[in-house]
Amino acid sequence: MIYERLKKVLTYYLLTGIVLGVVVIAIALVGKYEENLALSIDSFEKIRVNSIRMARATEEKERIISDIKGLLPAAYYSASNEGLLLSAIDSIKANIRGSDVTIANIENKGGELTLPVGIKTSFDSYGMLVDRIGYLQGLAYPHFRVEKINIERSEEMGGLICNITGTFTIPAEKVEGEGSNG
Amino acid sequence: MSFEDSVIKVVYASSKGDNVTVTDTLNLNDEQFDNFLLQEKTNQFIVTHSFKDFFQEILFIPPVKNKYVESLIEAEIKRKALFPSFSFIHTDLGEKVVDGKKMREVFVFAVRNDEINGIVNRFVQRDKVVKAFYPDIFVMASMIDSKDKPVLCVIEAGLNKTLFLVNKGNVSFVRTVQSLEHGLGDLDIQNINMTVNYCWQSLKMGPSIVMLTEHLCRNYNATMNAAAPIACLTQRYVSGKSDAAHDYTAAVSAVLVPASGKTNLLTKEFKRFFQLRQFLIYSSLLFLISSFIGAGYAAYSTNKITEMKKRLISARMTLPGIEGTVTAYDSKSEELNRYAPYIASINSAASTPDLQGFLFLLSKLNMDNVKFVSVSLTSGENVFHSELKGSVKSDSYGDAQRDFQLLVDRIGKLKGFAVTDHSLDLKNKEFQIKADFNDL
Repeated sequence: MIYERLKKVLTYYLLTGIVLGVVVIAIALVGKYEENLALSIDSFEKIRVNSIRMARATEEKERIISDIKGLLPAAYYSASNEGLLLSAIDSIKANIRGSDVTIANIENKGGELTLPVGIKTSFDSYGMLVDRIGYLQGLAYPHFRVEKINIERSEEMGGLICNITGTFTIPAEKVEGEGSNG
Repeated sequence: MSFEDSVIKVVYASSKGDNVTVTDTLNLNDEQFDNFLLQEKTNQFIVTHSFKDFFQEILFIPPVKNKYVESLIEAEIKRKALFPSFSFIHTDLGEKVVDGKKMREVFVFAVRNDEINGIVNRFVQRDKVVKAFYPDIFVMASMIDSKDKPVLCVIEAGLNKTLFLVNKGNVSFVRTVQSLEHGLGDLDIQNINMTVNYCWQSLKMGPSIVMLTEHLCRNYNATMNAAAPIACLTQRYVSGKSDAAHDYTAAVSAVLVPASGKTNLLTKEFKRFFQLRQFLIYSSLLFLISSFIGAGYAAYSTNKITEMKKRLISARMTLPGIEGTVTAYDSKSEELNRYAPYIASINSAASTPDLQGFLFLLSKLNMDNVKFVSVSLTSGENVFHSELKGSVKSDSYGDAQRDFQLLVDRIGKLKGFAVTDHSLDLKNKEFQIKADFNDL
C-alpha cells in the first residue's frame, strides 16, 4: 500500500501538531495568568487608593463627631433628657424676662422627646422683639421649633404683645461618651 | 525524466514562459536508477515514458454532453482493450456523419495502470514526488507545428521506432514498429511509407512531412525514398546546454506541458497520494513555524509576567495597614451613626426659614402711610405662612388704594416673600395681606 510511505510524514505531522497544541495551550494559560496578574495589580492599586480615602473619611467623621459634641450642652452627659428639656424652659424664663411660659407633658414620638411650649410676653420695642426671637432660634440643644407666632400692637401698654407656640425636641436615646465638648 | 526502453534520460531544466533552460543532462540504466534517486536532492520530477503496450483507436461516439463523454469512452476501451485497469487520453477530432448519423470522432490512447504505477512506485519508495506522467509521443506532439498540415513523427526507443501522426496539435494515430538497427534504415523507411499510405487510406489525411527526432537525423542510413519529405525536429526555445538537450526531446518538451493538462496519465490514486503528502508536509511546516512563533510569544509573555510579579510584590509591600484602616473606619462610622438622630435634628433646624430675618425685613418697609396692627406666622413645610393686618392712614379712597398697593408691591419685592392674598376694606381702610416666607 503506497499510503504506508506516508507513515514518516504523518508522524511528523502529528508530532508538530501536538507541539503546536501544547504551545497554544501554554499561550492560553500564560495569557490567562497575565490577565489575572494585571487584575490583581489593578485591585491592589484600588485597595491602596481606597484605604487612603478611607483614612480621610475616618478623619472627616471624627471632625463631624467633634462638631456635634461641640453643640451639645455641658450637662448633656450628666443630666437626663427630661432634665435638659426643663432646663431649657428655665433658660427661656431667664432670658425673656416677664414672659409667661406654659408647658405641656413631655411626649416620646418617633424616637424624639417633645415638650410643647407656649410663651406669652411683651416687648417695648420691635428691635427687642427681633432680638428675643433671634435668641429662641439660636437654641441648638434642645432645638426650639416655632409653630405659631402672633404679634399685636398694644394700645394700652404702648408696646408689642407676642404669643409664641412651639416645641422643644431632642432625640430620645442618649449617646454614651466622655461628656467633653469637642 | 524520460523512460525510453532500457535507458532513463535525466534532464535538469527550468522554464520561463515558452523558453526552457537546460542546465544538465544524464543517462542512467535501470540498476543505477534507484541509487540515483537515493542520492538526488531534487524532490519533484516530471516523467515521460515510451509505452510499448498501449491501445489506440479512433472511436465514434454519439453526441452527448461533455460530462458523459469520458464514461462512454471508458466503457468502449474496457470492451475492446480488455485492460483490467487503465488510464487514457482522448482527443476530440470533430463531428462526422456515420451511417447517416451525426457522431463525434474521438482518438483514444490507453495504457495499463500497472505500467504507470510500477514506475511511479519507484519514486514513492525513495520519498520523491512525481508531478506528472506523460506518454512521450504526446509531449513531443505539443512541440510540433501541425496547424496547417499533419506531420508524421518518428522517435526511437531502444531498437523500436514509434510513429505517430500529429494533426492540429493532436495525436491522431500511433504505431510502434520493430527495427533492425539504431538510426534510420531502409526497413524503417518502408514502415514509414506503409504508415503514410495507411493514413491516406484509413484516416483520409496524410502527413505533409516526416519529422525525425533526436539522433535519427544524425543516424540516417536509408537509401530508399520516403513517401513524404523528411525533416529534423529542432528545439528553438531551448537555451543552456541546447546541443545536449537535442537528444532529450521528450524530457525537455515535458517541462513546458502544464501538469493539469489532459495528457497527464498519473493515476487518481497517486494524485491523491501526492496531494496528501504535500498537505501533510506543508501543514507540518506550518505547525512548526507557528510553534516557534508561539513559543517566542510565550517566552515574551513569561518575561512580562516576571516583571508584573515584581510589581505585585512591591504593591503589597507599600500597602498601608489595611486592617487597621478598615477597623478605624468601621468604628468611627458606628460612632457617627449613634449621632444620626442629632444630625437629623440639626438639619431639621437648619431647614426652617429664618424667623428673625422675616421680622427684620418687615422692619425695613416704609410705614409712612400704613400702620401694622398684627403679624401672625404659622409654620409650614419649609415655609412660614404670614398674615399681616393693619390700616392705611391716607384720607382719600384713591390715596388709600394707592398706598395699600404700594405696600403690597414692596412686600412682594422683599427677599423670600411671596404675596398670596391681599385685601383692603375701603370703608374702614383696614387691610389684610397674606404672604409666604421662605429664605432657604
